[in-house]
Amino acid sequence: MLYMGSVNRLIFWILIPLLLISYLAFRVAEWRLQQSDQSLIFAEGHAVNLSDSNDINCLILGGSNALFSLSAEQISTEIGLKCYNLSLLHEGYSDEAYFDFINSITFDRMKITSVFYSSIIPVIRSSFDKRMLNNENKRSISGKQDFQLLGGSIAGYLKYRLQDKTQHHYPSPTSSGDFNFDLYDGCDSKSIKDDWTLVNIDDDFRKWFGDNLLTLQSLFQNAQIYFVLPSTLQSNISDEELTTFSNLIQIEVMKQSVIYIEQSAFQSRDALCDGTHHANSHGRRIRTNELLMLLRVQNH
Amino acid sequence: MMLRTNFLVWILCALTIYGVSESFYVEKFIVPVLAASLLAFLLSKYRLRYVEYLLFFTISITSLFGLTENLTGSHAESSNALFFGLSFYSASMAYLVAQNRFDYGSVLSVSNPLLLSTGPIALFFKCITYKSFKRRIEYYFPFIIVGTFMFQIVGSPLTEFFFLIENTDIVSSLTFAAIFELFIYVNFCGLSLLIYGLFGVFGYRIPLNFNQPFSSRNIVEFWRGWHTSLSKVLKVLFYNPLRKRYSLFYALLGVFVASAMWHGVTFNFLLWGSFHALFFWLSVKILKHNKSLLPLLLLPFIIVVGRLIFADSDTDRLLEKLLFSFDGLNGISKIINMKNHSLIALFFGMSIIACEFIFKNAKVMQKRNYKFLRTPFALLVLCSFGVLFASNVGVDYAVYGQR
Repeated sequence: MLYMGSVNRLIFWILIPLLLISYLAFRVAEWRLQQSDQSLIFAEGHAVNLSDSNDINCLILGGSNALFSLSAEQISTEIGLKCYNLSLLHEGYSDEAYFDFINSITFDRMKITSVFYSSIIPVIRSSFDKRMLNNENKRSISGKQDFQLLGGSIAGYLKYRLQDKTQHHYPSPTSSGDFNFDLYDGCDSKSIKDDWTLVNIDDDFRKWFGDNLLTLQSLFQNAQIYFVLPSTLQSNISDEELTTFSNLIQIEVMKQSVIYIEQSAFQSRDALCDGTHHANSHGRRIRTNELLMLLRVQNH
Repeated sequence: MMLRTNFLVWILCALTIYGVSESFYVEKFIVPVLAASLLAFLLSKYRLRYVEYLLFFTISITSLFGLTENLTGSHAESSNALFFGLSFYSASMAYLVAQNRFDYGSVLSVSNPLLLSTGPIALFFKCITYKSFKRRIEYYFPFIIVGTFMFQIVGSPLTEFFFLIENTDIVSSLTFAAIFELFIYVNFCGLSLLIYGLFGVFGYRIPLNFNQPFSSRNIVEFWRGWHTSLSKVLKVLFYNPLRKRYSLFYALLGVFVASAMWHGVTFNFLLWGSFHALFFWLSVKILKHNKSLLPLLLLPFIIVVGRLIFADSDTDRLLEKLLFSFDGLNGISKIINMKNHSLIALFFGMSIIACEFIFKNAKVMQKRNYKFLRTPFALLVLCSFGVLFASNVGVDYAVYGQR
């Protein structure tokens, strides 16, 4: 008992403050070091590619779904547009960062006549929630944000480190902005988890979505904007659920005079690289072919 | 002197709220002060009969006209800054008026911005003069650690389970109700402990809003430990006067229906109030016959079904849930597939409740003031888990405050 008081004091005055200080130190270090080089590779690649192209008249915009699964090169070859894939990982993390990035690129936006905006954020609930949080935290295209007392858990970091996963680095985009599958060997469709849920279409969602489509229209005033509902793996969402959801999204899209294109789901993992909406080169060909086919139907 | 220190505390709390808020509305701070001052002035001039009841039901009137949200436990911040904290300061003024203790000296404590944001209802606000700063840290800082753990590490990730509210089959709806009960507890109790600790460190004692409600053997004991500041208001305003004139059942019905109307004027709250009044009365009757097993067995049923009714203000959906139709174990399988952080939070929350219940007769539980979580070793465990699992998973908001 004599020593119990000393142990209690040691815990209360030394160990607990040390734990709290080490947590703070972790957060500060995380904040100082946070920056996704992977995201910057694409942003810098796009900036270099577009610095000397004046003949671009078509853009693919969006996040990783568009980066992996749509080919600007194929679109350019097949329908005679000069297309560029300006998609970024995580769609630039926040709306402000992505639109600022598009604004900062030196090309003539008035020459753009077609914009294919393919985004997973208005589809997957967790992506939408994360986007709202990122918008609030004003994350930059590198993922950097203001200091936060909360972030990813230390347990999560430790688990990630202990798993000793081989990290595959994404290569720079091709000259048309597409993902360069020739230089990437990290596709592993077996490990993809397919457990996403559809976004809840409420007033907050409607406002965010409408505002984003309006921003795109104001950025590309001479362009026809197409909103493309991306292809995904969707084993836990029924076709009926997706159809109902698609109809609701279409209403929102059409309110802004944007053309709506719904792409079908990926039928198997053979078409995927490393995520439910990340196609491999084969899947990209399938998805881009379908987009072109739907576009032709739309134009007729 | 007291007025000056109360004013300083008020300013400090307003600055704290300003610091953590995303938006700033000056009326959030000023309106409660003006309302309390006006009442103090009127009471000093006139004898206002039954004004305490008008005060208590002000929030019911604003809810009825859609000016404030109903308090189902989902985010209920009023979009109108003029009504910020109305439910808390009107209840606290009603309580003090009923006890003839409301005067100009109470204005700053009932309108304290921090208490209006998080609770508890400011029944009292006293200076602690008998403890040194070091002793106050030793006694009150553990409350801050326990409160933060409950609110942030356990509470916030549990919001990821909220999608279950849409399912109407018996397994999903009861599972949701049980998880939601846990969420409300760790969120509201966590914040109350955190605020209790903060005020204590700075030398002020406010009501301890929860007294380990799950260390109970029946629903009567449970209510003695749950949201005690509101219970005291209800006892003074409704139970005591009603019990003098009517039977126990009608007095209980009056108390629970008044409580229900304070939370919101909807069908589900009316049903919730009647449900709890009935089972409270039934438990008292059974206990009078020295039978303690049946009230114990009824306890989880009353808590979970009561929460099911409380949580859903969509009447059609609620009635569908109350049919208790079986539709497989989908609800359970959805939970199993949740993120690890939410499952870990669920485990922590259930562990706290299990400890409260299983060890309810232990010496450390006697005062029911969370001492079992405030021992140095328990604090070390909470801090270690807190440091490991603190994350931004889920949403953090005060379930009871702001409205």
